[in-house]
Amino acid sequence: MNRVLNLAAFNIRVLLSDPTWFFLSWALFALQLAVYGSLMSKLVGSNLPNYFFFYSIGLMIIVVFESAEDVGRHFVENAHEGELPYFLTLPISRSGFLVSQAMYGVANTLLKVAPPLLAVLFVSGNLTVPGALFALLALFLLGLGITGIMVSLSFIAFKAVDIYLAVLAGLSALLVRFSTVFYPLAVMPNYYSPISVLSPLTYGADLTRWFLGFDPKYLLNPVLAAVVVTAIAVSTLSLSARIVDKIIEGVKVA
Amino acid sequence: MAVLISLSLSDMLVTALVLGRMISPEYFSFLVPGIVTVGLFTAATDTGRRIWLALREGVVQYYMTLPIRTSGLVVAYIISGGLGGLVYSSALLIIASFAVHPQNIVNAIFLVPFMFVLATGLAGLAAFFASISRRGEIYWVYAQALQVSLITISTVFYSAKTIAQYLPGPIATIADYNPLSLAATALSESPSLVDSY
Repeated sequence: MNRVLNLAAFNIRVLLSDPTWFFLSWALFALQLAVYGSLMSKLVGSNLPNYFFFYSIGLMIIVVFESAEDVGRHFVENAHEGELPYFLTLPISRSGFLVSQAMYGVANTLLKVAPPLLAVLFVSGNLTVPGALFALLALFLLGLGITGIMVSLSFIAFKAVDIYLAVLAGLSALLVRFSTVFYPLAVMPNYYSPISVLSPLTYGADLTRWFLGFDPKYLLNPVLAAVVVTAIAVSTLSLSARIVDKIIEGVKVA
Repeated sequence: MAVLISLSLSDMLVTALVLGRMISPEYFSFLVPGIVTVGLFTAATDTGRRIWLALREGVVQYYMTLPIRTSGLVVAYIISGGLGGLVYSSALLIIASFAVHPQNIVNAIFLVPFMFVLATGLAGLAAFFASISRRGEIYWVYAQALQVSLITISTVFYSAKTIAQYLPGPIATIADYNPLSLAATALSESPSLVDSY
């Protein structure tokens, strides 16, 4: 376990050595919320009460999604730069290696999302300790699930990195646009809602909003959302563990 | 190109449609020219990614051995970015014409030179950021900052009138003079629609 923690700490130190990404992420979050969020909430008006708060949670889901994507890219980058074969020679099991990657992902996600979350809750007057903790838990579980998907897809990069990037861009577009990240299920046309319930972001977004006290009539059942988010985290991490265990040996990104 | 088109199409057929249901049906027609403009921006700034990759992978060393001056190489990259943006946004406009008034296409034909100049300018900006990005993945910091700031502070999603009404004057002025705002306005279906949202 010590070795896993050492490897995770090494990756996290590399992450913290360049804080530019964090400042950029927070600054862009603030800009989008202050300009796009405030103006769109005026345009939406009473059609969806408190759209500003709804959008701010959606923006946090995007931050979680992007940092999970970072973990997948970091994994592929390690293979591309030749660091992966080095990590595989370390006296650490494959599952231990995956756990260290997941810990790196969690640190990356929490550092990017926790300050904006606390700031939004403080400014909107919704800051409560249980609300913030449970919202962070929901975002953490969602981040784990998306990280699992991204690491599982990395086997594509072992064949062709361009195809991996294209798949990632296409998948991101589908998962975000068809989810309830920026609009609730209630306003979606009937022909889109069945696709929306297939996106893990739908459940993560609605669960986080429910924890933060958003009007439940616009949200999915929170028990269902919690079960789905947890199931996705467990299943995709198990899948990525199998991939790391079986496919990764001797790979080289094309 | 297929990925870029699918991104813009999903913006048009999902995001714009759902936002139209949340705001008003006419908002869809307001937003579609903006989505085409964002598409032009994305395709043009892809030049930066290609230059960054060429510098990183060492392909640029090969280019330097070709019988062409360095300035010629830079101009070739920028023009290719401009043409890429033009071709891509034209394809999007044709697709958009099925959803909004075909008058847009007629306008767009007259706007081709303007769109090319805009795409070339954006490609040049992206090329500049790629060329000064010597440290690791810092290019993506610049690219993301450029994309979010230019698109958010523009009239792609909301009109200049709305920005001026709710946000401080300097932000409204930046949005007014933002080239993406100018392009979205030029591609818009009618002047009345431009100020509606």
